[in-house]
Amino acid sequence: MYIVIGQGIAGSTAATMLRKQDPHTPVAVITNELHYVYSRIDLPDIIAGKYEPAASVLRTAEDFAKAGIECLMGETAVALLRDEKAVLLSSGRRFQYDKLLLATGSLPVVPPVPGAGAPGVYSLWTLQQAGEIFDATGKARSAVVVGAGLIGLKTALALKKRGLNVTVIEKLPRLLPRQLDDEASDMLAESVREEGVEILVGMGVDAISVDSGAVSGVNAGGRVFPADLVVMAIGVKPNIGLAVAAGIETGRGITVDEFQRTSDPDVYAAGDAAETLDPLTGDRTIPASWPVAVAQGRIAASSMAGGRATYDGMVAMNAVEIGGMPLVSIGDIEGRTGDEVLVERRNGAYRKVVIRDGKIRGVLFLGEIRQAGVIGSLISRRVEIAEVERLTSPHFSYADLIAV
Amino acid sequence: MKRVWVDRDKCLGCKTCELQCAVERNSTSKRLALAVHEDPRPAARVGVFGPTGSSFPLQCRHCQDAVCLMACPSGAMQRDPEKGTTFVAQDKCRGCWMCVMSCPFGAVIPSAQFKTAMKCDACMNMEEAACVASCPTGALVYGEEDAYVKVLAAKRGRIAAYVSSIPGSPQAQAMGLDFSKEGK
Repeated sequence: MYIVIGQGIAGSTAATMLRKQDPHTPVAVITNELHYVYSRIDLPDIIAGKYEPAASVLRTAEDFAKAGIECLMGETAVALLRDEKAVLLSSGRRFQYDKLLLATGSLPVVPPVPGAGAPGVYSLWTLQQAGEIFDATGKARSAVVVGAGLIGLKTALALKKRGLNVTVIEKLPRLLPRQLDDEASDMLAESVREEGVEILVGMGVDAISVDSGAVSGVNAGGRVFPADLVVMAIGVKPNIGLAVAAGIETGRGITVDEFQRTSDPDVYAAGDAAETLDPLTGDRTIPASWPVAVAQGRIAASSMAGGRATYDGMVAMNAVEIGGMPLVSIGDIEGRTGDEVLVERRNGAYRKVVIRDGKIRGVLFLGEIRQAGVIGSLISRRVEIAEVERLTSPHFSYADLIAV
Repeated sequence: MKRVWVDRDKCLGCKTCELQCAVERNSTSKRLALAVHEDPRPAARVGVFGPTGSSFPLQCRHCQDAVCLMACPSGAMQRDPEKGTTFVAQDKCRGCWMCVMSCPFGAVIPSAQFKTAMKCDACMNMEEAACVASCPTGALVYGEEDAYVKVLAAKRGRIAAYVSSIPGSPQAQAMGLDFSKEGK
């Protein structure tokens, strides 16, 4: 029997692939979600009231059943008993496996500041949390979002739409520190401020103030920001507790080889929980993106079913729209000394391409993102670029790559 | 699978396909004279790119192992199981632009007005694709891959003979959307 722990896109993809590749062996997905598999990118919009929670459904237990996959909802895997090749669930049930996939994803990081556990302080990672925050916005007047990453900024704008006074506090000196450079961060900050959200960067949070048993403010930079709702969005970390307790090799995530296999040959890992090699730098990395999770889920399924397909690594990338500004960020967008950096600013858009040793290493498009994928795809193909000036031209297209 | 094929030699860069795509598939009036006044302005899902003389129309290739399908987190990017065509279910698109980020052809267009991804669906619910129907030079062809490969082979043979008589003249430049087939 194949057991997949985690219903996210890595686990869901792997289960589907296993069913196709090995139709005769049962496949079970274990998930602690209670109702259905949903799209996490909808959570801020659910808080904003733009969508009903049901609009985020990707797959129900019935959908899994129709595909011949058993989906156990509301079950947490509490222990991995490798000697017996079994998984112990929170309900006390025990499942034997032949091959196991850990697709346990990430968990939000809660900073160790005083008061972080007070009522009114939330993380946003599950549909349930989105519902709780939505309910809290009914009587809240002002909110502080800690962290200016993708989730933090999207949540801040959603809370603003619900009529709250919103302040974002970011410890690092810029917004979306992993996706933007300083100039792009300034541009995005302007767009977000135009929506009425206050942004403070380079400011660490010292404590959460609590008054009569509920959050009343956030202490940061020597000031107190009044808040009856606080969202902690400083980031996520790989959910690897199960693997660690079972003695499987881990770094920041679960260490896997190119077949997505862990240090236990019968246990695999994929998605946000897995730590793989970066194809360009050779460093161990957790790209933690949707396309990576799909790719790794496929490879894991192939390996579990006896195949020899390998995951060759994907460049870190992300795309999002925040405050009306579309954004695509791929690879090393900072660059380093000696790199050739092309920048074009036009009509409120910012486009940057980083070239190292004649090859593209990073793409950052803000405001105007068309063709970003064409240039981005050249990073992993490691193509030598002859005419670099064309890359940021508004007329650049795929045609430039095959023009004679 | 039936697809839209491009014969680069025949494209003159007139952009008729762009106009027809925008009018037929993205305007409310369905008439060019009225469509140009519409707001938002109708957008084409095919684009004629490249300098004059080597231009060609570029639209979604409906890749077999489509990266946009892998990248879409909302279930909006789908493939028609019978026709094999990929398309965006607009009601499910959340405008996250993961498909724009992933497509190596630049075939997905981020709609600034609607905040959703737009791309060619090969006019899968129409008798003939708007771009193919409108192309005045026959540079765009709709059909099965086998049929197109035969046409291509015949053409290559003819041009190869021509090349052998005039040294230094350009090679045949017909291409399917899998341009890697060239040279085989």
